[in-house]
Amino acid sequence: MGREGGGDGQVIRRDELTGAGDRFGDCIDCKVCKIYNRLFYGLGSSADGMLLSGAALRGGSIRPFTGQNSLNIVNGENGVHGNSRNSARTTWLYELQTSDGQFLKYGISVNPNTRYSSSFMVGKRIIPITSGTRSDMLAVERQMVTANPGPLNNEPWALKAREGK
Amino acid sequence: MIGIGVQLGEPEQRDSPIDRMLMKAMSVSDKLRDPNYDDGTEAWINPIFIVPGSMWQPDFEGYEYGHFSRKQKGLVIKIAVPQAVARGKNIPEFISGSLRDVVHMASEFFSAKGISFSTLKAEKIIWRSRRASPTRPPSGRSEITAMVWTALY
Repeated sequence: MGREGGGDGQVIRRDELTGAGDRFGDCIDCKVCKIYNRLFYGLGSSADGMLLSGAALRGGSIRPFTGQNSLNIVNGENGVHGNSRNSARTTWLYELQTSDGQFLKYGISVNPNTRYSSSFMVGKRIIPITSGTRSDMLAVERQMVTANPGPLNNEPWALKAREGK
Repeated sequence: MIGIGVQLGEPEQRDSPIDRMLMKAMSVSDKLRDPNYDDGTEAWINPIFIVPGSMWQPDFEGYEYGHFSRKQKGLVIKIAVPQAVARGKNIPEFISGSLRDVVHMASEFFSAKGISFSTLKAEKIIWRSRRASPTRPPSGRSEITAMVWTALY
């Protein structure tokens, strides 16, 4: 089992990463070994992103080691996840309405074509409003939701705005 | 049972002929649909018309299967609206024709899964939405087509 980085066709085998035993023998209490093992065996934890170099792993993925979820490097542009605020992928701000034109919500989406592969849109119309970086669209979305929250905008700031707080 | 959805490609398409026609079809299907259509007793479809525009375009041609919920017995089928139709050419024909195609696709899909699907109820919605269309058959059509049109709608 190995870690495969798609960026430059670079493939790192697990035995290369976990060669601690060969290098340092079986010294269980050695501080260097502990740090080394924690660093590489720790992949799959919530801190995975800290260990990954965006440039080396561009477009790649990390396979699960044992019983862990695989980690996909979704965004190849700047090495951050597509849902991250720092993502450089184009994001669209849209408006959702009912069949009689009643406003339901504002939302953002990175890929509108795959958005409805996992949900239903019965009696609804979706209209793109504008596009930009995810950071910008998040800011615009929040501003619009705060000013005019729709019944399906369930963000905390939308609830506050609806309650007039 | 049909529940229509629409995805416009740009904000300028709001109130365009294609948008108005799709909204009409959508409201007809909303009125005729059972309130408990998604409780899993009967199969239903959710055709989503994807209108190409400057911001969003469909990444396929024709039709594409989407999400299927075994629990709710609902199936999404995406319909790519051609550029010419989005500009206003033969909109009623396209909407009713593509809805019929979608019903046939769904019928095959559900029968392969051993789920019953009422094409009659779906056809009823298509007829009604076509009748709600303000457009009449173009004058260049044959007399027979015009007679069938008048009889049906």
